[in-house]
Amino acid sequence: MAASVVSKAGVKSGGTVVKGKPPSRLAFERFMRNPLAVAGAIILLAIIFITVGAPLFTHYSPSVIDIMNTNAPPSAAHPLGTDPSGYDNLARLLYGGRVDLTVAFSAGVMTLVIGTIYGGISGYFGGWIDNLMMRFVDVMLNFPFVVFILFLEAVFNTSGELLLITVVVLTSWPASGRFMRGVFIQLRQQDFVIGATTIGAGAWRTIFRHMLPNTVGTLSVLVSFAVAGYVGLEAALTFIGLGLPLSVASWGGMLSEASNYTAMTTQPYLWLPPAIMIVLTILSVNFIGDGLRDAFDPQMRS
Amino acid sequence: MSEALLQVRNLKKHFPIRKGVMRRIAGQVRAVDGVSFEVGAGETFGLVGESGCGKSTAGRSILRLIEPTAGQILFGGKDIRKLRKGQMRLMRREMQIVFQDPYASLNPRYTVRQILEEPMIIHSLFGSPTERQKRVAELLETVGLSASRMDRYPHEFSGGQRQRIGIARALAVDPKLIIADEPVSALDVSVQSQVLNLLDDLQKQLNLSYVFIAHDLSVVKHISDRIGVMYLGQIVELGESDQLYENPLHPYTQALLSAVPVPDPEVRRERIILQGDLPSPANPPKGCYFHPRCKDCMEVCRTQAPEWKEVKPGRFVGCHLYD
Repeated sequence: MAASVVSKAGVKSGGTVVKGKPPSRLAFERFMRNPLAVAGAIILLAIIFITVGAPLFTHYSPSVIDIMNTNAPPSAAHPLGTDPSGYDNLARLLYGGRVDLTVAFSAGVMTLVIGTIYGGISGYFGGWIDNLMMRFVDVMLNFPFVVFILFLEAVFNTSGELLLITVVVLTSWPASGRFMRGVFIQLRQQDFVIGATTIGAGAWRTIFRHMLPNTVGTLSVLVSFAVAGYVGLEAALTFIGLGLPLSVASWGGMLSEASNYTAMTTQPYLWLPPAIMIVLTILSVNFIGDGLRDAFDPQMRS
Repeated sequence: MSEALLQVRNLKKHFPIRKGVMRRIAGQVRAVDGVSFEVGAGETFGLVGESGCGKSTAGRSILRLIEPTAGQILFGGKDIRKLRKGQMRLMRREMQIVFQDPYASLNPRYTVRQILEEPMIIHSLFGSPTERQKRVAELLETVGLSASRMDRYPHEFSGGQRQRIGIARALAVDPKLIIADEPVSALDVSVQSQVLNLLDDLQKQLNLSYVFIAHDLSVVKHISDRIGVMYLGQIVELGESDQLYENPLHPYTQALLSAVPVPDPEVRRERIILQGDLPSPANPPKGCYFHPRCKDCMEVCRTQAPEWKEVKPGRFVGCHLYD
């Protein structure tokens, strides 16, 4: 094809190829302009740093008890005191964060991966496939979740991080699957997705190259809200005794340990630190989620 | 026209209306209800009508982006409705579409280069990346954009430039037919003429056939050789563009044309005002679909659907006035 058709746009050709700013970079720039989101990111990074680098901040182990020194108030040796079993509270707090964050992030990511694939297939193909898959989601959504945990703990005769992650993922993916189905159905109507069909792209190419990259905004928001939810869920489950065993240090476990009249009224150093950590984590993750949503929204231009 | 590139015969697309728990079919929206026309090689066929008359649905059904309910679509003599999935994907090389909204038709996460390369990769048209890049540059120059901007993203272009990118994507596979679904109605008037001229130039150069869908009669007249006027899923009148404009036969066409502004203040023309709204295609009127709004409505129009007949060579109309 000769390039002789008159160039009416008035753009001169030739010269060096100019690189454009990818949408992800623009989103990052918008995110960095959102003070709450940046604050959330800094707080979360700080929490991750002190929990991952726990040995830097305390030389106590979270699983060694000092039987001669239980229920001690804060002192130079134990900055947050010790609990009724003789564990060092600061060590429990720092190491416990690892468990909380691991459970929340891995469950969050896994839920989203399963939900996206499931919802993507359901939303893209539609028709009876969609119908069948969504009825299964309905069943899963109504699954009695607490009974399920009790059942699994009884069958495998164990309780721990892995079981908790499994349970959370198994019971949470249907909601994100249904959500992602909606996102894919919406994308399915977009001209550029129909355009992919007209140039001969198959289903997988259309789903993975054209639709999935355009769900990144929604996905990152979903992940952040899921993670925030799971931090709270871990605490709640452990508090009522269905989550992690007390031998595993976790924020929820610390709260559960301190749930008696004496501790609540006279020993705030037992429950205040983990409560603050839980609240801070949930808040910062939520702020990040809000920031990501605004950053990826193409309507928001500044 | 025996060697027509595209022949559409009695094309129908009915959408079911489902009701109740059992999702039983309670009715049909007859979006496209028996449309027939032909497009020759290098010809432009204009499809006009009010919004909601089914012109876009017709365009998309021809490409099987929406599966038609009935009818034949012969492309180069082959009925593409009979093609299997794989064959259809190969056939897509021959027929492309240009969308109305240039802001929605390009993947926002692809660079212009990726957008234009993808069809070539899918159809394995060019072996090496260097050849592909050369072709991408060529395509951009063809539609009047600078090849130096191929690594930019769609959001960095204006509406008119995006539409050019959309046209370049359609051209990437060397198609014979392009369905232009209101390609200029989302653009500024000043940009509209640029894009129309570009389509015109490309047609001459590449011997393309167009099905040009629009609601703006002056735009359609400018670009089309022949025009079909659609009303409620049917073509009511079809003919050579000039003849149809000079001497509209169907009362609906007459009403539409009387609404086109004339750029001469001295000329006074009778304005035919259409009464009422477009009826629902789920429940079309009995007899002639147009009779409730027709200024020349006769008794027979209320009960009997008019026949589709050739009143002059190449001139078709479906109206009882010409019985």
